[in-house]
Amino acid sequence: MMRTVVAIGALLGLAVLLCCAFWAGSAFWTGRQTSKSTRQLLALATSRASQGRAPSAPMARPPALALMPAQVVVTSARAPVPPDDASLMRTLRALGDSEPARSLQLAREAERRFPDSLDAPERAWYVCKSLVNLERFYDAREEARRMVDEYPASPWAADVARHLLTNPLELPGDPAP
Amino acid sequence: MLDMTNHLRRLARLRAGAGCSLVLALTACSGTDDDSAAFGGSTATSAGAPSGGNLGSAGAFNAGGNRAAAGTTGSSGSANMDGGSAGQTAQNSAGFSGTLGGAGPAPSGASGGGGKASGGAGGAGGRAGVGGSSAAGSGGRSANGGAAGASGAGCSVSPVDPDATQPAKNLLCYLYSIFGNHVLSGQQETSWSNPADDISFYTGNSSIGKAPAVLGGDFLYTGTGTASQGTTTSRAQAYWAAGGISMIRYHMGAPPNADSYENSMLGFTSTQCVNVITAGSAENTSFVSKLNGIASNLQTLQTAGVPVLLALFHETQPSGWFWWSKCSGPQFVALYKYTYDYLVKTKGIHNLVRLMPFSGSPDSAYYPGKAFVDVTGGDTYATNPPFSALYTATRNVGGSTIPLALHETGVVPQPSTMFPSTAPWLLWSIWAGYERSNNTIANIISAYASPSTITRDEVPNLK
Repeated sequence: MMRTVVAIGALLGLAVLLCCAFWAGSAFWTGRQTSKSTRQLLALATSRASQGRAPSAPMARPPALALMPAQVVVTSARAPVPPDDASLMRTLRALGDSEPARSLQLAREAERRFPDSLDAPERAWYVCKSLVNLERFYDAREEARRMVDEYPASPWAADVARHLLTNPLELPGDPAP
Repeated sequence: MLDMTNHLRRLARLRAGAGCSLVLALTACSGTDDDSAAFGGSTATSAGAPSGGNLGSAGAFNAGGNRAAAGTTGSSGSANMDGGSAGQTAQNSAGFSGTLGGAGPAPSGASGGGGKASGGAGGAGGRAGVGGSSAAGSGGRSANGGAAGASGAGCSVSPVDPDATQPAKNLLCYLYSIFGNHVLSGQQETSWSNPADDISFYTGNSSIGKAPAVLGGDFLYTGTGTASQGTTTSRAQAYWAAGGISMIRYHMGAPPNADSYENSMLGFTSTQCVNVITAGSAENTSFVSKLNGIASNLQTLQTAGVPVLLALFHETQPSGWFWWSKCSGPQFVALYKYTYDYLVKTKGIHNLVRLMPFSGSPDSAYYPGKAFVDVTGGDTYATNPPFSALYTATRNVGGSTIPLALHETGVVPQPSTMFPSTAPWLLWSIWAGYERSNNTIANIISAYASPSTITRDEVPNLK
């Protein structure tokens, strides 16, 4: 008899535990659904609000997002990994003369981020060559002078010296722009 | 540009100058477009290795009486190239083959006093004349030493232009005859400001005291030059009269733009590459006008009997500095052929020896082929001459049966490092002003004193 009473008590206890667990799970799920809906509404509101702004104006961070789990925020705002020195050089070489503006931008970026690179003279050459391809001859000359000063023994510098620092750009007697 | 970058990268990492032990095995010269034929001369790989079977064609060029006897620069050489007796081979005591020279008939028919002898030059191996071993004295297209001077028929090579003038034929024969064991000294002049200054640098220095054999000009500056110094054309004429050779390039402005140095570097699209040789386009109208301009100058030189080593479209390579390099390989080849067709067939210019001048990265896609090219070459401003890697790269494009010129460079190479086989360039040409800024006097003196170096006073009479 005693055993029966204990067993019934245990079953009741277990039932209570299961009920509590179910209640807690329901509450959690309901909360998540509410949070997701809030984000969607916030995004919609933000999108509508931003239509009247200049594209370059920084958008205010929606306050509700501050309450979101950190992991979600990191995932949605992940910045692209900047290319390393070798990747930049590979891209420069692959571009050749095809996109001088992009080549110039990449070479400048590489100069800024990797000033001590072994490929620095070659990069400087790309700066000069890109400027020529953009028909910015006088800027190219300035870069060439700087390059020759900085890398006097480099064959890259010798190449730009021959092509940019020897012949006058204009014919003798023509006024320089 | 990729090729260019590869080349420069290679240079940057091989500044010590990688040695090249390639051996030229030039055996016969038929003068045809068949690359299986080679030169008449051979280059000995080491002392005591006779090259054999060589002939001189220099009998054609001996009227000037330069460097009289073969073997003078070798040890007891006894080169005996006899004009007209093909097949003879001279050897000096070191076993080098004999070379040019002898007493072949001069262009005028007068006996020569000994052509440019090079037997055993500097111990680097003799260099035969053109077409010796294949000639066997039989005449015809085959060469026999010394006969070229009279009519040109004795030289086994001829310019790609079948109607080339006799001086142009003589010049090309001469270039072939020295290629492999001698090098022509050269200098580009500062055409835009003080063109006389470059040559006077050499002649005015008592330790050098000799003028370069080759004077480089630029048709970009045809109209420039002071009255006393003359124009590119008049200076080329004067240099020829003084015994030298004229090599002219042209920094042409990208059509339809006017000529200026910066305009030679303007962008040029693929469409423009097509348009430039398409009648009726703005590019073509401009281009033809420019060609007419140089044709007029070339005609002046032709009338004066002056042959020109014409180096149009210099520094050709994919994505190079100048507009013609913006075209694809096939487009460039079409442009090259169009240009020479126009100059030769339309304008009647026949005093040309065509030099196809690559940059530091010769590209076979841009090579018109030997049927359209007399001489080819490369250029570099690296500081580790003699640029054996570039020599090899150029030869890989042009083949082993065409002279290879270092048509632009900054540092005078020492012939002792070039021959017999490391990088036996046909000529070097120092860029304007670089003789002062990029060379030591000692370097130049040494190179000019080399028995392998030909200076202006040593160029035979090619008229």
